[in-house]
Amino acid sequence: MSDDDSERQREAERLLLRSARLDAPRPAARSRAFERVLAQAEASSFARTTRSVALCAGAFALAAGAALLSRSHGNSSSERAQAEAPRGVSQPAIAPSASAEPALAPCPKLTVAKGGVPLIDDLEDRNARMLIADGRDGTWMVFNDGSGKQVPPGLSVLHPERLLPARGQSRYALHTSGGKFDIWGSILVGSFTDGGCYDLSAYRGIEFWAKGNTRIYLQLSVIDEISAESGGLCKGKGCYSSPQKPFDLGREWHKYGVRFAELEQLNQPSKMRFDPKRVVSLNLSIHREDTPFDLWIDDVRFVEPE
Amino acid sequence: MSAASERKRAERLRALLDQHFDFIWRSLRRLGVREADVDDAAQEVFVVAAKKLDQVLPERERAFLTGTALRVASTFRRSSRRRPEEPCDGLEQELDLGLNPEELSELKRARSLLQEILEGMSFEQRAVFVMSEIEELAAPAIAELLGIPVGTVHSRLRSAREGFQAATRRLMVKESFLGARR
Repeated sequence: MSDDDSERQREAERLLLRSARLDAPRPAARSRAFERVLAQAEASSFARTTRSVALCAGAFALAAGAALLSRSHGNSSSERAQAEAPRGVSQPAIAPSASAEPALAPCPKLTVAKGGVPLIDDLEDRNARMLIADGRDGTWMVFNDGSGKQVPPGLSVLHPERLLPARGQSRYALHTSGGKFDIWGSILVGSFTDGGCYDLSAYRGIEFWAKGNTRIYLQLSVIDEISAESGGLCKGKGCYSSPQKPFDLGREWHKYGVRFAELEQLNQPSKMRFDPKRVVSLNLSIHREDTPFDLWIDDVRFVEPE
Repeated sequence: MSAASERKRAERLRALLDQHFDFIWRSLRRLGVREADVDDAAQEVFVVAAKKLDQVLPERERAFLTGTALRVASTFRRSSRRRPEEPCDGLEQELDLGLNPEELSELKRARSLLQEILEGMSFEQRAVFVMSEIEELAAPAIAELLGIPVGTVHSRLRSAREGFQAATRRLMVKESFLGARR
């Protein structure tokens, strides 16, 4: 190798090594991470640091999908409750919470939100995990009934997509779209942890920004209504009766939300209670009659107590 | 835990973040954690550190964080192996590097090539190479951070440098790297 070649090689090596200067945390990302770690430390929770397990989230989401299947076939939970009641025994319209609570089986794992960290995910970190804060470390995923096409495909982890144009300061959001589905439809699931219960009673509701061409149903899925086969605690028939609030999305960004108290009210005809101490996932479902669809979700956060 | 000891613990954690966050973030990135995951990976390192803060001697903080970062990087690399890395965009607008557009473009291309070269190294070689050639740490410091003998640092570094030089030569031929300057 000539002197010239040697010098060129050294120059190339220096340039390559110097290029590592581009690897630096963005100032905003750095401060955000600081806040999250400190918030978690100061809450002294640290009970859970394991990464979300997609399979686990998948099991619960499939369970939620089955719920939609049963609903879309017109077999509502209240109808099931009546059907399952022994002949001649009337079924109470609302399960009395005081007497129902002692009968609840303990959650296999329980993470208690301390409150004070309402942002679930702003998606700006461009990964499919919820922000790791207040015990949350779940994953965004999509599922469908297999009868149509969806982007990303069913059973996929859902990564944020670039917003063009940006929505104010927001540059990334969750995006999924799909064609016609014939069985129960599709569902976007955010598991709060890696499969156990998340006690979110420190908060009062959920808000998010969205746009799209469809109706979505927001559910907070509790472990008691998820079948045992899917990792939940519900055995036999009569599983899956989450209260769900519909939102008709518009083509422009709009902020939507629901208070947990509303979910309680929505739940009144149901056999199952909505218990904020036993939540597994946030589900946004698109029923088959609302397909095809195209929707964007951004800045998902809890509502704090006033 | 009393309020005073909780406050002291929080102060120590804040100092830990202030002193080491950037180093850990850069290390994770250069150890192969995708850009989309590196914020969370860095956070995970510090969450682990916060959990074990009482067991970590102040003089061993950086070594503890580095060891944790190696494990976290390995986990993140495994979990993201099937997903292609998305190109970084907009970062240069947020970093004040004092470069003109041409220099920045060249640096971005170089970084992409550097990533390729680093991907060709074993994880152990890569860790030593990054700390020596990019972070510019001395061999005894690397040995302490990685918990390996100094001799092992030297031998891994020698192999890594040979690989780096060979890869650079290949780039100069195949990719016409720096060719535009001739």
